[in-house]
Amino acid sequence: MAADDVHAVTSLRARPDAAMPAGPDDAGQFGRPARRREDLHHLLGRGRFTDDIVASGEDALHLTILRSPHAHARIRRIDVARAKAMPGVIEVLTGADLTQNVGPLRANWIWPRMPLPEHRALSEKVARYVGEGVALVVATDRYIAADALEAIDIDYEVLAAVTDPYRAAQAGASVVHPELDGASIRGNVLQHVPVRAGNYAAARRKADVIVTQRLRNQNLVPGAMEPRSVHASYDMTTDVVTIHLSSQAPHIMKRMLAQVLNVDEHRLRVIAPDVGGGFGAKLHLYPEDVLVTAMAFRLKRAVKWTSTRTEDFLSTNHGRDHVQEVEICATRDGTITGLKATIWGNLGAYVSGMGPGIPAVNCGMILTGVYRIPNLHVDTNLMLTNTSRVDTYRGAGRPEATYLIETMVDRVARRLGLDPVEVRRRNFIPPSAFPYTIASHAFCYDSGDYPKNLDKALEIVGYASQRAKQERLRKRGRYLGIGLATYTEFTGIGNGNLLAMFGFDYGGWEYGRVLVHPTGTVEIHTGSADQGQGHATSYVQIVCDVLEIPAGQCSVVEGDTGRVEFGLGTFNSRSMAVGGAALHEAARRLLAKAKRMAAHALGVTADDIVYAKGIFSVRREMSPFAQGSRVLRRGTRDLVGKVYRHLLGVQPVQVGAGRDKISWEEVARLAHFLTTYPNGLEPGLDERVFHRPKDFVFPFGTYAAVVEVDVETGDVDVRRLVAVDDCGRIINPLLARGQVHGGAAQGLGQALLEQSLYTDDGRPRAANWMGYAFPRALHMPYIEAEHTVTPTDRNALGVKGIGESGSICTPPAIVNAVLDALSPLGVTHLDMPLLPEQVLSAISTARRERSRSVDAIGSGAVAT
Amino acid sequence: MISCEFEYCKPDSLPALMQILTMYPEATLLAGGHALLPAMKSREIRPERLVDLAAIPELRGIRRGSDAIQIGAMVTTAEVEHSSLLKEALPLLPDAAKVISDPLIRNRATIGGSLAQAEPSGDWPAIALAVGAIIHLTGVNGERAVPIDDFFQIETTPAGNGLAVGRRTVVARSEVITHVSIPLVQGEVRRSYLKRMHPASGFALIGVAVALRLDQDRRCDWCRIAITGAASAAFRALKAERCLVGTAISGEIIREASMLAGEENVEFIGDPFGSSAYRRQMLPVYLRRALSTAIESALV
Ligand SMILES: Cc1cc2nc3c(=O)[nH]c(=O)nc-3n(C[C@H](O)[C@H](O)[C@H](O)COP(=O)(O)OP(=O)(O)OC[C@H]3O[C@@H](n4cnc5c(N)ncnc54)[C@H](O)[C@@H]3O)c2cc1C
Repeated sequence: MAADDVHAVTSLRARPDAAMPAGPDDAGQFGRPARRREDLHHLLGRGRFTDDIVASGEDALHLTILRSPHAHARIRRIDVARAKAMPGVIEVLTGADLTQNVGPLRANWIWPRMPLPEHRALSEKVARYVGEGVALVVATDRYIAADALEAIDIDYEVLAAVTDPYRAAQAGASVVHPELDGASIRGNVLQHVPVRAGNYAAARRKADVIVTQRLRNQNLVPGAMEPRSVHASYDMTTDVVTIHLSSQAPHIMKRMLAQVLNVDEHRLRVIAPDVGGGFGAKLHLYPEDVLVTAMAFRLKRAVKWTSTRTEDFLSTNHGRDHVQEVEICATRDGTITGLKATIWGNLGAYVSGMGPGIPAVNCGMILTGVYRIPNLHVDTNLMLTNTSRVDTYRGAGRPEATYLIETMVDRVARRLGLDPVEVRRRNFIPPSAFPYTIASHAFCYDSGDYPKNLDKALEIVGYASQRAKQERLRKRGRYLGIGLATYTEFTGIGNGNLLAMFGFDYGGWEYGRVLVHPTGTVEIHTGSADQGQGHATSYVQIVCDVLEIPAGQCSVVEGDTGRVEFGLGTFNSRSMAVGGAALHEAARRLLAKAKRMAAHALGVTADDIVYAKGIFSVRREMSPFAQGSRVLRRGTRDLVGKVYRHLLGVQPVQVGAGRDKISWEEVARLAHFLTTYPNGLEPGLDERVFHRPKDFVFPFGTYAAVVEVDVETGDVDVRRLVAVDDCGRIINPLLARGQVHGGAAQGLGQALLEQSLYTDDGRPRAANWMGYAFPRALHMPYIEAEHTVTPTDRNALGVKGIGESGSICTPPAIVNAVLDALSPLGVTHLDMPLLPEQVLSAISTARRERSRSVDAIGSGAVAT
Repeated sequence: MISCEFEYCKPDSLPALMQILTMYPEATLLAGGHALLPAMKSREIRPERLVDLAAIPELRGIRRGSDAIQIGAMVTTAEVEHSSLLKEALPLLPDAAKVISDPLIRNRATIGGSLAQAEPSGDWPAIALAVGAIIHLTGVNGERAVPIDDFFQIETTPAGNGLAVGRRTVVARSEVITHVSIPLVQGEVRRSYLKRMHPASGFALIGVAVALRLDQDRRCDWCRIAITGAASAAFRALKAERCLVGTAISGEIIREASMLAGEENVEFIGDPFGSSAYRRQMLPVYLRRALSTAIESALV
């Protein structure tokens, strides 16, 4: 029945390792390129995604949502009578019907004193972006539900809309939330966050060059292959609603849903089964999550909603979307002395989970990147507009920061006629300076060796010979470009106390649990679950490295609040640095306890036990004293045993007596079924750890791109893409490379292909894969991914995050390469994406300007 | 993305199809479904009755006759791509098939469906124009053969999102394309197809198909050039053709002909990945490159 089915589905997440060979040689797992234990399951079509769930033995009712076709409109009238009367329609509700029982959605990163626009799961009076829900239908199947949507009569008064964050800040722009305007905010600027350091004005006065540029970091669609999906089922016997949700953070979702729906948290169980990509967009609470859960409670039935592709474009959070005005000051030798930036970061029509922190902290407070820049003047404006919400998307703020600083450093180099490599070296934070607190004072970098990393990238790409080749080809009218970008970023959230001061309400820990069954198999529980990264594979490596047992003996339980009690989730490339560190600690504690159990059984102290590859043995070179006490203990036990047998006719368990070795499996059994336990020890082998990191960890790296631009068509051909990342010690090089590949693809997408465009009245110009250009295999060059290894001391594993580097560093590397290619033609700026038409028109504009200035000089006019 | 209700039937012969069409002249034919189904799911169109052509043997197969090749309407793009007959007799077709979207689409999309759909950015319309295909139609009132030059009806309303529907060909209501025949031109015919893929849809942002015959003196005595992706329907670059026919092929003449193509009197279409001005600007470049490829292949 109900509960059984749910169990059958979720237990699929506990997968024994089928792909990896079992055997004691698997011990020493850390650093091995182990193949993903998740793959077989997916290759055989056994994946279970939320839309596959049939949880309650009954077919779920289908929920669909009537969405506003307007970016900004007042709802004059809404009549659901006709829809309600249709056969098969169970429920039709509007925003007004829900205000009683469903609270507004909350965000998790609310700047101190920042007002929060009210975000209802269905808007009652005004729709503020195309795709915002204004009514819902629940019907017996999705076809009837879709037909019923068309039968809802709704009348809108269309209002002026604004979708560009810069335009939203200008006088006269239409106001997205008039109820806040004037009262707590000004116009559409929800919050202004200044960062000041040193004396920027003085740096500017003394500078030899000042370079200014306006940059656009375009609005992007995260575009996970699996669209969002929610399935909620009600269990009459337990009064619990189980919610299957394609989410990166099931535990946080449980907490948020309990708050929004005002139900006890123990009445909710959230399961994120297989999740087909998240990229930050599946991290936060959405209206549909609330609505489906609320309907399951209300109707006491299973209810589901699966986004159509178009709905996913319209209603799932977008990423990036900054306008940045930048000014950078340098001295003649290329020393960068100051940075000024004004940022308009789009949050969308409402504030999503971490929305405000992305421009304000993740970008605005780490603009200086890998450089020592003492003087800073940064203003970040958090903008409300008539778009869907904008929040975390792979890199979340660091791509915007890295693009800003890395393209500006190249501009300084070009202006001064210096090699961009030299300008980078000159300004790098030197290896000796770590730990290093950056000028914004928001972050203290743990470790780094930027020059070494840069050198490796230059060597792989063959920098000098590429420059020579560029020279040769230019003479033949071909335009090769070499672009570099160097980055650092922060991963592994993090120091919860510090974050709380900035209004971040997650805390910073992660939960891990390692337990041993009486038969010796090991179960690993983590609160930081997988969405395709291969977490289970790496977690097993971490645990098996400590426990020295075959990987096949372990299973991983994740993504289920009913089985894993606590968790924060998977984001900020934190899983290995925080979730992995928690499991590492749990495994160590567990082994220590197992040693005491083994010692007890063998009649020695834990100090005299050595453990290797599943065997606990008595240390050969025991001290005479220890040997004596062992004999004594054995004698005592023998004696006690004899007495018991004689007086009571029973036999005490004495597994290890007289032996020098005991296996992992025996210890596992003893841990549960021994009659006596060492002093103070409880039965069982089960360790739970809430790991709280001291601080963030800061991976870094250098990306180099070689491109050729066809100046006749504007085509950019990426010939080489070299990625040299430093994420500290590497748990699994294969999976680390996979992360770089995926990130680089999304980075290339941003650089060359992707943008979410809006019409003047605020409608997205593309809401499907036919009109929005995600990168495909054919767009990708071969990615040369390498590493340097600079460990961190902020976690016991020495690891840093690797999940986002590719999307952070690829865009500036490619854009710098294209601008490098076109510099002889006088092209100095291009906005992403570098579509051929834009490249071509920049070339012709530059040519025209050149010939005009040549004409001007020729005719004796004075250039002003 | 959830279609309205519809009836469905699947006749197993051409006569059976004709019977159905006699009874239901408004019925909609279903081939690969890759134009039709997306449009139905987005409810842009709401056909009440689908007639699936998948089980009609008369619409299948690729055959070689004495002076023409016949391709059944239900032949998929993947079948064209892998046909050894076509690789040998008319490699332009398999070459073009290779650059049509991805293998999943190619496995479903049919030649008949693509021609009937006449997508402004579809590849087959240009290919069919360049090879001078003849479209064979069967209707309740009999059969007819329409030369490809008379097949498309240029509309001025730009379509654009890859899902456009509406009358764009001479195919009448309750008429079916049964097959396409392609005359085999005697002599040294050189062909090439150059396409810039739309990065999102895979359709042609611009596609140029050329076929030309050179005599012993490298003089062009027959030529067809077709363009897709540029206007609301594929069209022939007649000015360029006229410029080439009767002249000895040189770099200069190729450049001249290519420039003329940009002056063709058609309304160019555009989208964020290539405005109409950009497509107009690219046409001569692509034509020059396509011609050069074709001619170079003549030299080896
Ligand atoms: C993601 C995607 C990418 C694509 N990329 C490309 C591309 O790069 N290049 C390209 O050329 N095309 C491309 N296509 C289009 C693809 O080739 C279509 O499938 C094709 O245009 C329509 O063929 P179909 O067999 O799917 O026809 P259907 O969708 O079944 O039918 C299309 C229309 O033709 C009518 N019809 C079908 N068969 C007949 C017949 N025998 N007689 C009369 N009428 C008929 C139908 O009634 C319908 O109106 C793409 C499609 C998709 C979904």
